[in-house]
Amino acid sequence: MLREILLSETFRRSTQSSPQARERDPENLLLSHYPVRRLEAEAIRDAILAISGRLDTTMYGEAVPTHLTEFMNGPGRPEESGPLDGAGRRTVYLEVRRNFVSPMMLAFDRPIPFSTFGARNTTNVPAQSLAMLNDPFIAEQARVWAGAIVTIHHLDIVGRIQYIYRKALSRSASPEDIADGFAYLETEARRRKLDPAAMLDDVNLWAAYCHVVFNHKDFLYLF
Amino acid sequence: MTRRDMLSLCRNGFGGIALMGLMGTAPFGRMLGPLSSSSDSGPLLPRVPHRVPKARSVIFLYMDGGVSQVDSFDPKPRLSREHGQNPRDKFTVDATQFDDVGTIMQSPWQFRRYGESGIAVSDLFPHVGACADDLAVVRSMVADFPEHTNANYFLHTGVGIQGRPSMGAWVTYGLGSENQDLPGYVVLDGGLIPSGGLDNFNNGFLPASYQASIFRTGDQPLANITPLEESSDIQHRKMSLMRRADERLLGRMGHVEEVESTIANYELAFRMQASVPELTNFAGETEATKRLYGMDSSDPHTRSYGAQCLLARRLVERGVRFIELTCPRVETPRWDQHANLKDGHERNARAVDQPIAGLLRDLKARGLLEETLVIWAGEFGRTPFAQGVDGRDHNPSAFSIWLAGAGIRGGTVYGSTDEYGYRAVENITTIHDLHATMLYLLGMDHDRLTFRFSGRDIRLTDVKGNVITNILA
Repeated sequence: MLREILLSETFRRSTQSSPQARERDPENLLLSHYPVRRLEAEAIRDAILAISGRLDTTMYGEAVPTHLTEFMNGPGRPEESGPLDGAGRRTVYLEVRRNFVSPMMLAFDRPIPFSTFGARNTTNVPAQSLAMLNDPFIAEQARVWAGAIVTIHHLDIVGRIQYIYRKALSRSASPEDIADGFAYLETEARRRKLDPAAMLDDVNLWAAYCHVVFNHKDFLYLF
Repeated sequence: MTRRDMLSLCRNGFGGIALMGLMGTAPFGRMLGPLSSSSDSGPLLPRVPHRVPKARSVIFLYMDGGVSQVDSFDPKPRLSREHGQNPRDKFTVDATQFDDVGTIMQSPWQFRRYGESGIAVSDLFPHVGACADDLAVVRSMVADFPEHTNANYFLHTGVGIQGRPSMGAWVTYGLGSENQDLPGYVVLDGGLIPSGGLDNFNNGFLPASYQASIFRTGDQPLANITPLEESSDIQHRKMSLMRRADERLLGRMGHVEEVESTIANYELAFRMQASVPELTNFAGETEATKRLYGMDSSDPHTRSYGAQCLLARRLVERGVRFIELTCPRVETPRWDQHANLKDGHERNARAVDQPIAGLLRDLKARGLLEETLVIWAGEFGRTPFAQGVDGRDHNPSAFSIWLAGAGIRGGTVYGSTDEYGYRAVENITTIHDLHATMLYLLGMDHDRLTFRFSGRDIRLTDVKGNVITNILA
């Protein structure tokens, strides 16, 4: 059954719609194109861990205690915070505390666990952009990933950009992507007073670049 | 920016224009007047309304759960005279939510007449009562739904089912916002998200940029508002790299509404890193102002709602278009007193009365009330007879709301209910009428504010709604 669905012409349609289709079937009830989907909160976190190499794919086991920030206050606050990266476990294995929900999960519409929830919202608000830009978890994972990247000695800068694109976005970097990335890394290295030879080994430099790649819209959306 | 860059950006719809802000260029739409459609330029850029507006902003004070009209703005002496008698001997009793109809119940509160207008307000609201000459009380409201979730969707979106655009989304879609550094539609979450959840604040089929941004109480209304980079130029360079990738993505994919909105959100988020801390910093407010809002109260809920009301004024000052305040989570949540009316309504009223009056006075003193429409409303009213012994059940057949500020004739009472306050009888007013009036005061004709969806030009007021002209100045 699944094979039938997945191999169907409808399922394999592109997400691009024609103006005529938008006019005649604005809700896309006839599935003339595939709906663009945003990754769910858990998928965003799990994907970041998978890309950075920190993901622990172990199944089952104890829930990982909730990471607490200054922003998460109130009665019943646990005395100790869990790890920022949830020990690399998949989000499904993270403890859920009703009054201490991760701001990033919340921003990306994981339901507030006060009651059952029939269908999730898919909102589109600046709080999500703020999470992707400023949440310490994402910055930390960019660093973890960068730590792995600087050990790849057989790839030069261009090779690494290509590797990063394939790993994070499941596509090749275009010549423009590569040129932009190269220019960014060079400028950043110059501002940081790194000599060209040190560029390949500087974790902070590559972490900044990886952070930007996590903020590509084709990371958040499936086309 | 070169001319070629400019042209290639413009081809890419408003996501492209949003990017221009990041490039340090003022989006040219700021200088423009009417725009033919939202995708022609930034989604929140101000647009010219149909007529000269009276109101620039709306503050919607949502009274979650349904305030009892006969205990607040609609005095009914007959309830005292017939207290304890069987309502079924007096009038037809409709089915109620809990089917636990008790006897006719007098109000536990006295009513007083306030101001030159002499509007009667109960002792639940002494502070708001003192502002009576600024209020237009509508006593003849009716709702289509007797249950919270649908009634909330109806109040917020004009339709009783989930998934339609909220009135705040319609307003920002119609008018944009006067502040490009903050969202145009902000919900100040006082602690209680209404039944029906965040879909009360959603954009429905309108572009996603028009949905509400939810600000929580406290110093940090939004998580992750502080940049992690040690200096702003590092973040600037990251943003500019990201921007170029976004531009190429839009070039490849063409029009993808969700992605364009996300790009616009990044732009807005980037500016909010500076504008939000400035907004929520009350250091420049005097102690007298804070006291006016009840921020020195011994009741923590009064203090917290007072801070929300003050924040609402600061949002209005900054040109934010639509602001909704939800109720604080008092010990007896919501105005939904199926039992223990006296204690529950008193706790709820204590939390909001002084802050709301403070907001009205402060707006007035600063000359902002004349361009701000303040709406106070719940989703329905309550029964004049008891539920059980000391509660009141839901009643969609009559409830009171009030409006104040821009274009409203203060000191007005409009419409009336029967002698028990059970049903609206004179000048029956619907939620559609409320929406039509709100849009009118904002300079929009409710039958001309449309969005093409599913083969129809859809309105906030569906095919209904009349402006309540008798409450206008």
